[in-house]
Amino acid sequence: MSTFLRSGLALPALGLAVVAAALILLPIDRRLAMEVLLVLAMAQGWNLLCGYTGLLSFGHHAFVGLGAYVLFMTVNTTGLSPAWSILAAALVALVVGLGMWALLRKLRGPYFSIGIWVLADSLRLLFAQWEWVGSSRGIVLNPMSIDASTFADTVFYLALGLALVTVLGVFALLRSRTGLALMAIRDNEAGAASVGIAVARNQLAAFLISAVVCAAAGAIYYLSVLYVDPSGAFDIDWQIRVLFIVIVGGLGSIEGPIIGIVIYFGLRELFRDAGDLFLIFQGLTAFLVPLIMPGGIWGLIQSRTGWQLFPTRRIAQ
Amino acid sequence: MTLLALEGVDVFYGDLQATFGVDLHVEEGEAVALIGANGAGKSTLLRAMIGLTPARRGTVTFDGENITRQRCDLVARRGVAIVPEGRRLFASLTVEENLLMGAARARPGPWTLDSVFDLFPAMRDFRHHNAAELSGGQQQMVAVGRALLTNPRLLLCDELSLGLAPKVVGEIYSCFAGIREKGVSIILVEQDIARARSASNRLYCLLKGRVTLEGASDAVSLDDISHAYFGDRRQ
Amino acid sequence: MSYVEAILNGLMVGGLYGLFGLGLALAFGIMRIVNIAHGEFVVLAAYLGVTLLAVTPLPLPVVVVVVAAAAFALGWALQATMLNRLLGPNPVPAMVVTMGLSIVLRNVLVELYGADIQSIDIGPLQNMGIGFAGLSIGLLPILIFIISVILFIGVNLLLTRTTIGRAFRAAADDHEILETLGFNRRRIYNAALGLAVALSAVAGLLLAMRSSFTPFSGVERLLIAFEVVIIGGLGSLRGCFLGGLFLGVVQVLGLKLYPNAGPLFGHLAFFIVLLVRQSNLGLFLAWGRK
Repeated sequence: MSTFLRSGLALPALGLAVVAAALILLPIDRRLAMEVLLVLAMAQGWNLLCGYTGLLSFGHHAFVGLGAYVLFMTVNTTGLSPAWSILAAALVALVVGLGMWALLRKLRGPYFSIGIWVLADSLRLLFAQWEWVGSSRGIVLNPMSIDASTFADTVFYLALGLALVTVLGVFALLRSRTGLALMAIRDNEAGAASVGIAVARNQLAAFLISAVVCAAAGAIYYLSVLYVDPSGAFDIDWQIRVLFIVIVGGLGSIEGPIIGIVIYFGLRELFRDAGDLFLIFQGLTAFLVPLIMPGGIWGLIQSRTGWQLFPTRRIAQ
Repeated sequence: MTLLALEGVDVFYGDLQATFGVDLHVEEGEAVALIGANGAGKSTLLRAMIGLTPARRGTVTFDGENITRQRCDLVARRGVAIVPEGRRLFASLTVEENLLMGAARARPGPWTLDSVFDLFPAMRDFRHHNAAELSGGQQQMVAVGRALLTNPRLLLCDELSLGLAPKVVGEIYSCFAGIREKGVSIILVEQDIARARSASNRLYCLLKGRVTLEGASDAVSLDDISHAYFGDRRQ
Repeated sequence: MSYVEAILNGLMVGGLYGLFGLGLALAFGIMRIVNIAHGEFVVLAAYLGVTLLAVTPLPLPVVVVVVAAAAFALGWALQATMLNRLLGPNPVPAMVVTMGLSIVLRNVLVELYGADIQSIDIGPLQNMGIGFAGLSIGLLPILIFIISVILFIGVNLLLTRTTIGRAFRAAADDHEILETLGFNRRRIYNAALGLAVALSAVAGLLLAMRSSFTPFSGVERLLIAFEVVIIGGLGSLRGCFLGGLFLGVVQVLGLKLYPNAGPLFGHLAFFIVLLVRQSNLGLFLAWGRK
């Protein structure tokens, strides 16, 4: 027990347990909570790729849409339960992610960022043309596959599970050897390569993890809506949201996206009636943060205080 | 009259200190050599003189003006030019275009395309070649010519002989007389001690970022230089 | 519309795509900055054109010049006030900043003009055409193509014959050395982004005369520009031009086959080029380093 306390894991584990318990027990808006949890999972996945391996992706909405469609098609054609179909969505995202990597593996920096954006746009256009998946009209989930009385709770717990698994998984990963390699790549890609870290393999691992997480989150979100169409599921707004959250909170830390989430949803509720103003504000913030606060809010806090809620830094004893 | 003076210059790369309290001066019309082993801080000092890596502490004075933290392009326009280590020609430009870049923001003075071609007559033959196609020696001529075309009062030369055949190095150094004739002062960084001595009036020897020897080039003994160079005697 | 006409039309619009690519390639080649808001600038130019034509009595050619000048000033200001502060080996901050800018521009355009489809009405020229050998080609596309060729030639002259143009190329090679020759690197960068945005703005305005646009067209324009640059190879004017023509032809032919596919065929062509490049590794690496 004392090793556990000293390992620095106690605080984050306790914190997550308290938050999870509060979400379950308090009379909160579970729809909103579900969305918050799903976007948190996406942001953690995206941050693993962009914050740690330096591959800035502008195309992760590809996986959101893909996950949603795979879930709908699996449920509607095989009769598999929605919960199990999330695994199918994750699996397809893994395979498609590998294929995308084969295409993008030589692209770095801005080329990667826009290359994957083109891929996401291609998927949107493809699904809008594809009659089997309902083309641009989209598809509705087979109502027989769900139990209306427990449905709202089911999606909430799925979202909670995904968010917890993602945060803890990313945390555990960063504390492993792989995590050390990822952080080395984040700090200096060429340097990491020169001491024998397989940069490309670690980048691929982070890419696939982020793809699977975004696909699962997309699947659960559209499951809750019961309807999916290409322009919504493959909307760049998913990507913008995640970008905003990670950049404002702080790139390359677990705490950053959590802070970003709070700010994003707080502002969104504040601006609820302002329409496009919120989008403008969102863009303006993404525009200004790198100029005036390069490390995001968490970066600022950390440079002032040295705090670590999720201790992934290691100090030689 | 003193053209350039460094006083107590400390240069850093990030947290890493590269030079420690360097004092150094160059008189008008003088040629000064900086010698020292790899990593002694010679190129770093040149970067501090032209404003590419400004000194964190100490002052750099050029022609009576403090230029320590002045932007590189403004220092250049005051009359400091550099022939950088490794030549660093603009690879996608032709030889003539490289030279024109030197002339574009030039101060008034004696150097023109023609006078540079007179200095290196061979350059006329490859003036329309791409800079990337040239041999090392040819590139070095272009790099010197490009710097001269700014009409500098002080020319900083970083390792002119690096990677070149001795014969080619001789050709390049033989033009120094012509350059000095036009009133240009020179600081040359050089690994080849004999070459450095013969081409300079005075020399400074650097060791691990500190000046370990200063003196007239024909007065310091090879023994002194060797000790200053390797630091195997109390300095 | 026959296939021959489709190909000719593709070539005509491809000249504009080449200009989109050229704007992006200039900024990346010289500053190592990818301007994610590139497409929004293109669309902004179209809206500015619409507005000027509606509220001022200025004739079309003057409007084009005014828009180009405004775009140059905008690009200059963006570089001078924002992007020059983010220079360095890490491309992420500049991409995030311009991504943020693109979101702002897109939604401000929605606020000002609504999300409806717009187009620029240029009067009778719109419907004039010439016919030869049984084909009929619109006069406007031909004019636009000629303008894009002239702009390419102009940029080529600028880059090879003028000091500022040579300074652009030199800055792409080695900006430190350029500074040691007395050039203010930041001023060069300001002018470069000004030129890049101005070129794209003119292209955007011309495109708006022959096809419609909405505030959301920016993404499509950005992806086109990006594809042109990758297909044509960065750092070459001819590459941009040919890449643009290729993409234009692919798109027009694709739309003839599947009218609803949008830019999908352009994307596919882009991926095919990527795959081909990857299969020939040596060539690919040489291209990637440029």
